[in-house]
Amino acid sequence: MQITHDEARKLIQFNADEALNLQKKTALYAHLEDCIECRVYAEDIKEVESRLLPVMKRQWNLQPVPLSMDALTSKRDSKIQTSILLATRTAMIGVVFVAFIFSAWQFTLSNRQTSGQSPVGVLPVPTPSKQSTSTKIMQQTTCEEILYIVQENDTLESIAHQFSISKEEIITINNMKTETVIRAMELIIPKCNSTPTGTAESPATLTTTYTPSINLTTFTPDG
Amino acid sequence: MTEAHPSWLISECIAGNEAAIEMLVRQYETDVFRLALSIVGDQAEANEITQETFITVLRSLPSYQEKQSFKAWLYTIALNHSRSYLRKQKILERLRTTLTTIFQIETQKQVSPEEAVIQNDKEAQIWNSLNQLDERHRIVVVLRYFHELSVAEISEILSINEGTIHSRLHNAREKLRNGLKHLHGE
Repeated sequence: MQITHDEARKLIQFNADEALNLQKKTALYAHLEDCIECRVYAEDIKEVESRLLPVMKRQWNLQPVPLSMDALTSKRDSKIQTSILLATRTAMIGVVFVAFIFSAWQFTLSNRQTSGQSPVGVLPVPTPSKQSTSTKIMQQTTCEEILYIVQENDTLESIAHQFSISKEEIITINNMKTETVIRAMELIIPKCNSTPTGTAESPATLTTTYTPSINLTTFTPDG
Repeated sequence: MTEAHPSWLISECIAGNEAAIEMLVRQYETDVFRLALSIVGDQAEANEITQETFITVLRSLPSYQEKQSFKAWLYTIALNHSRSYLRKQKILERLRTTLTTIFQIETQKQVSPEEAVIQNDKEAQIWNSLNQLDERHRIVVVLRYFHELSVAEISEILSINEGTIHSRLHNAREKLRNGLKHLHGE
């Protein structure tokens, strides 16, 4: 049986794998007898094989750390535990997910409320402003002008003292040129409730007290 | 894989006999360790893989089919664990190179396993050539020459037909031979 060089090489390779039957082996050896080139190739392959084993053995022929039987059996039995662990983890992830969804929902809800109308029950900004307006109103309502008719022996100082205001205020508001006041003269007195000193009477009684027609009727005939 | 395994040992292991389990582990742990070491090249990792392999074996013993060789079945499990480690390493390596190129930083390279002193140039050459083989070729060479398995056994372990194993061995031997020739040429 004649074989080519290529076939011989293939057979050499198969021979290395111990996969040649007797007939092919004989044919290969017959070819190698005559062919130096193929013989060299066969020797090369043999060298590769012979060198592989010692180098591998030197690198890998080591002894393992003997396995701990306790660790092995406990880890084998932990199969059930791992399934429990998996279930716990899944449940925890679920809880976290639900919590996240809930908080996100709450967040969007509160956003919608603040953009639409102010939240019920909480009045962060309006409270102080309302207080200030109410006091303003109080001042406005209590501040009123009183028409005072100057009596005998009244001076600007005494009138100012009586209403607990400065005489300059009276001068300014009545557009007076001098500080002298004469009897039966009409003076506008600014009166605010916030400064109620001196007199105990209410502004309403003051007006009635100080604008009596009796005074006018009593004194006007003289003037 | 010529050694016969007493099937009672396996049934005892399934029944939960601790002594039988220990006997089984002691009988095969060195083989499994060396297989893992020859694939991953790191002793600590090989020990880890050995442990994982036996945990898997003990868990899946009930599903072991008697018609299959026990050693082949064991080797298949060990190889699967070793290859999944290699895959993880590959991903890590890719990540490392990506990080290095993106941030221009020197990430810490994994320390290569301690290598026994290489005796001479030819051994060094064949060792380098072996490590330069891709995973598919390297595994068959390791199984064939270090673990001294037949092509039929390798075919059973890897679930690849014998023709493919032959061609991979052929290619691998060619490359190793070329490596040695290169050395001769210099």
